[in-house]
Amino acid sequence: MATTTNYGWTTPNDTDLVKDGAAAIRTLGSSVDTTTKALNPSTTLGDIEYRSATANTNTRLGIGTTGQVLTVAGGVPTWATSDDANAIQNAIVDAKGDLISATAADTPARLAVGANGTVLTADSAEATGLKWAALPSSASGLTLIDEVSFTASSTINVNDVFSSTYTNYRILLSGSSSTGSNANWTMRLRASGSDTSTNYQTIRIYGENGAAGSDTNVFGTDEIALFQVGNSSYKSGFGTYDITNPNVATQTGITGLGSGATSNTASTQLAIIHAQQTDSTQFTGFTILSTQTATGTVSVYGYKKE
Amino acid sequence: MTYKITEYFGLTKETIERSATAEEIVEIKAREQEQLDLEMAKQTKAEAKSALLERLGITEDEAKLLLS
Repeated sequence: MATTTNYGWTTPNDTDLVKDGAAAIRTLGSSVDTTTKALNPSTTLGDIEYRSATANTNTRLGIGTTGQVLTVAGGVPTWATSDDANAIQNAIVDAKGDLISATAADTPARLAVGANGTVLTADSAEATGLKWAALPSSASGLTLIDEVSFTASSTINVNDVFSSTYTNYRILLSGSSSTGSNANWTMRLRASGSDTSTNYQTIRIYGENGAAGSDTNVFGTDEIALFQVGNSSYKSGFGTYDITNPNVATQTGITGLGSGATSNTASTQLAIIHAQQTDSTQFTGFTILSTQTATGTVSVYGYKKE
Repeated sequence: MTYKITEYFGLTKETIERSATAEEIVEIKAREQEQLDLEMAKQTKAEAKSALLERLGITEDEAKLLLS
């Protein structure tokens, strides 16, 4: 018996007798029917077929439900529920610069853009674990602790600016003294709201009236000499001082440079000082004293430890 | 004359101004006197220097030259 090329259906040979024609046609028809049904197993509106593992045999895939999408599972097509609910929707962002973050697993959330110049910073306390924050200051350098202004004062007590947060400090001092006579600005360290007025040792090198000089404890050991301001109408003083270990239970060092400017050149002074307070007191502040009433500002900075 | 004290408290960031106490006034005046004494000592020294230069018949620059 002969067969067809593609599906192997049986057909009569060229030499077969005519009386066998009906049987041959029936056999061929049955083969065509079987093959066609194997290739088209659909039974319902919307059914589709895909090739099975058996040659010339398709597998029926019934129509899916509304909203399902055709996907692949286990190497064959299948209908599956759309995952749109878990997709990131357009509506999650509201404004220019918004970011998509997450508040938990599988939970996206909007993070609005920060202010100009801020940077994105991790912060576990935030809902999204992120926040916009000001640029961090450098790991080292000076941090302004406090700035104190004073007017026509004989004494400026600055309390509670030294602590264990910093080991070393810088004090910037600027101001002017009232007229009348030369004014000397001095300093004492403080603890528990009281000045310490003993055990200072001050070495001073100064330039004054075109000459240089030096002295030790020019105002005694009860205070630290900073600089002199003259007695004429234009009389300003400026000082920069580093304070070492004021809040550490050891000796405290004070080193710096001060100048007293004035239109009276005879009274102009530049003074470099180094002083020590030899107690082991943990000082929390300091006092600026002027022999004429003073107006100005004192700024206290801490040296970062990093 | 009234003397004013400025006090700053870092914990509360508060600044107050008050009049000096009698004890503080005594100390302030003592420091003012100390300053005046220092000025006087400087002036006395300068006058002595000028008198010496005059007695020697030389100027200050000439004295510096001699000592250089």
